[in-house]
Amino acid sequence: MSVFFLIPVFPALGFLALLFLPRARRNRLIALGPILVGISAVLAVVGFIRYFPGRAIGQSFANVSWTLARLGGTKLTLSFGLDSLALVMLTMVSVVGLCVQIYSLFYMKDDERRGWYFCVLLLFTAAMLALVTSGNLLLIFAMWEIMGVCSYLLIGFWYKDEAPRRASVKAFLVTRAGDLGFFIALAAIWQACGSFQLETIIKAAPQFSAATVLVIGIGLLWAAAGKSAQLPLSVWLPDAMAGPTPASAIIHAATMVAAGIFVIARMMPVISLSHVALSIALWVGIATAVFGAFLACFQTDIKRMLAFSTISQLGLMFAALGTGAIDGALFHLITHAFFKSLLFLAAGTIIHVTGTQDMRKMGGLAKHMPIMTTIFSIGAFALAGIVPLSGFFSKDLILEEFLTHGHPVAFALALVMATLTALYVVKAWFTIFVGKYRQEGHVHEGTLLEIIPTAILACFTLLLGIFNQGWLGCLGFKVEMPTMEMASISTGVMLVGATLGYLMYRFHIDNDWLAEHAPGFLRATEARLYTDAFYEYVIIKPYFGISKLLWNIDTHVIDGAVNGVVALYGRVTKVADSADAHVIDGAVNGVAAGYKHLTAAAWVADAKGIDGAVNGIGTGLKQTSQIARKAQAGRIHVYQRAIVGAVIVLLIIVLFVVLKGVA
Amino acid sequence: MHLTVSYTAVILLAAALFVIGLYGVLVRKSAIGILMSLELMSMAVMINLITFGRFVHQSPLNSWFFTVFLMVIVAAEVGIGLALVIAIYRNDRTSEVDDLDRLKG
Repeated sequence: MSVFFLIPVFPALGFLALLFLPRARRNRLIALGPILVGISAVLAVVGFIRYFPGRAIGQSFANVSWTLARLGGTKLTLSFGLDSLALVMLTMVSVVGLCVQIYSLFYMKDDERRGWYFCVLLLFTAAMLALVTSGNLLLIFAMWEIMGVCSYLLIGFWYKDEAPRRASVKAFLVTRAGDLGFFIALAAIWQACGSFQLETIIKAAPQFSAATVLVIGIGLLWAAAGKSAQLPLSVWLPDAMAGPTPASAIIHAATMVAAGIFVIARMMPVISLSHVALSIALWVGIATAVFGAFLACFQTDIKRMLAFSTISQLGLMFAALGTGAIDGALFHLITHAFFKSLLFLAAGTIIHVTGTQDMRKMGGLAKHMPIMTTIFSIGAFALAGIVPLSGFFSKDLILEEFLTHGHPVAFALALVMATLTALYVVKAWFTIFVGKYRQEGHVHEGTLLEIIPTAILACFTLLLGIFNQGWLGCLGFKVEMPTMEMASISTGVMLVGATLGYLMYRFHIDNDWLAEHAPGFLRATEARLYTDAFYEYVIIKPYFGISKLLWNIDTHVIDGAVNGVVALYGRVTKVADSADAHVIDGAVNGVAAGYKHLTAAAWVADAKGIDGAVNGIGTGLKQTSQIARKAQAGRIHVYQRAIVGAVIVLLIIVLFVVLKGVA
Repeated sequence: MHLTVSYTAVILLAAALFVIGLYGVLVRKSAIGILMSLELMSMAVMINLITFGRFVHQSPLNSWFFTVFLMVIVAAEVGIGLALVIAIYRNDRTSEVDDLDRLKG
């Protein structure tokens, strides 16, 4: 077994260690997070160098598997495989994870539940690392679900506020709706080839019937759309920004949302057999890319803007997968992970320093925090696609793929998206860093714990693009440097977008201006082009309608019947009551009167002799009950413990008797 | 279909579930937590039933049958339990079992 299979184990151990500690001790041990993820990161980098240059995707260097159970003739196995794709992903996830962990040491230092935060973050990192190394679709699904839970826990981390709570439930439900697709695809795969092993599935795929391939393809795409926030399941991601910013950086920008893209890339040999599935991916992706970029232009909240930008970049990757080639999408996935987590972490510092997420209240930060400004700018310009940052190279590769695979419309739409991206990036950059600070108070540079991790990410952002041939060669891709035509086209649209963005900043064409001149347009963007309203009217409202209907049936029909019976019963008893009062009471009273006379005599004897004895017994009983009373604490736990104790005693007796009998 | 998972593994799983449930019942403060733990315990019982049905008797059908019954009963029980918790909560504005000591003698 290769030592590199231990990479996911370290964070998992950290999670277990923190999980069982009480809160105070957990809070003191948060340094465990960065240390363990650091070990994983070092191992991953060593592994990357050790197996460099790699083989084609799918040909693994090492395998390990355990058989869990045997179902009929088929084995149920847990298996991990290390191929070049897994190595690249391992390196990316652990390095980004390490940076986020270090940054979180600063960001969460005053939170009273910081131990729990690190615990969940470790579980998330372990799950993502295990997902990328997994050689079994069932295992991928399990890890996928664990990440869903972590995402839920971290979005709702500040559960005392309303918004994070709502956002966490929304994210959980929407991604769960997506997971249904994964489940259907799993069922179809099992039915078609009786195995969840990736290599078995891929080998058997050409024999699958067209319908099976279509079901698998659409199921997986639907699942990936849930995880990677594609239309129509994109609604959860902007709200997910209610969580702590470093968690947003790793989960909702860099790694978890990339899991959808990763799974599609892994299963590409199967999905690419269906043209329908591919074109769905292409058009959904490109629609999402334009949709996200368009909405990002009108956000005033810095995290929200980054969230929409994430949706749009993921859309671009999704569309790139729709061409049937995976190299562009994976290249962009890696570069995007680095620069987007960088942007989020830097934004976290900006939010921390200025105390607001509203970009309109910032301004002039370049003077006060030059280092952070530089770092943020590297990320932002990579996002906009400026030479020679990593985003430029990966985006150009995707653009080229659109052309070489014959999708000129998608190419044109991707150019629109690139223009919009440059527009919102430049507009936000000027709003945040140029001009005068628009609030009271002092702004200072970030601390070392913030600068170091973001600087590491910035280095990757600077270098990944230029040296792409080196490390992408490891994946078996032959990546050319962008051709001059492509580079000039993309730089051209970028410049157009940037100019528009600058003009919008310069002439204050912002949301206030829109509210004055095009209020309907502004309302549409604030409602996110009515995607949330779609769910409101198609799912939530009808659901409440049905509930209301059932409630009405309950109150009127069933309760009515019950009330009717009660009323009838009331009538009957009234009659019985009057019969009782007149007939039976009369008789009873007569008897009682006679009895009364008799008892008067007995009373005298009673009071003297018997009462004495009775009182004696009564006093005795009272004293005994005072003692017994203490056992009647009225607390469930006391009773439960008594029951459990008694059961244990009984067990011991029974075992004793049984064992004696055996002996 | 032959499931060759070792007998002890399943029993251990059931035992672990049972003990986790028992622990929850004993230490949980909220009535809902206790209900959830009870649920775990009944799961353990069902697993045991199925396992013994499979390994002790050669025909597992009886145990399957009973387990399906058990599932329905447990579901109903949870329904009632939750209804009780809601009723208690409406009366006392709390579902912490330590605050509910009106049966104190």
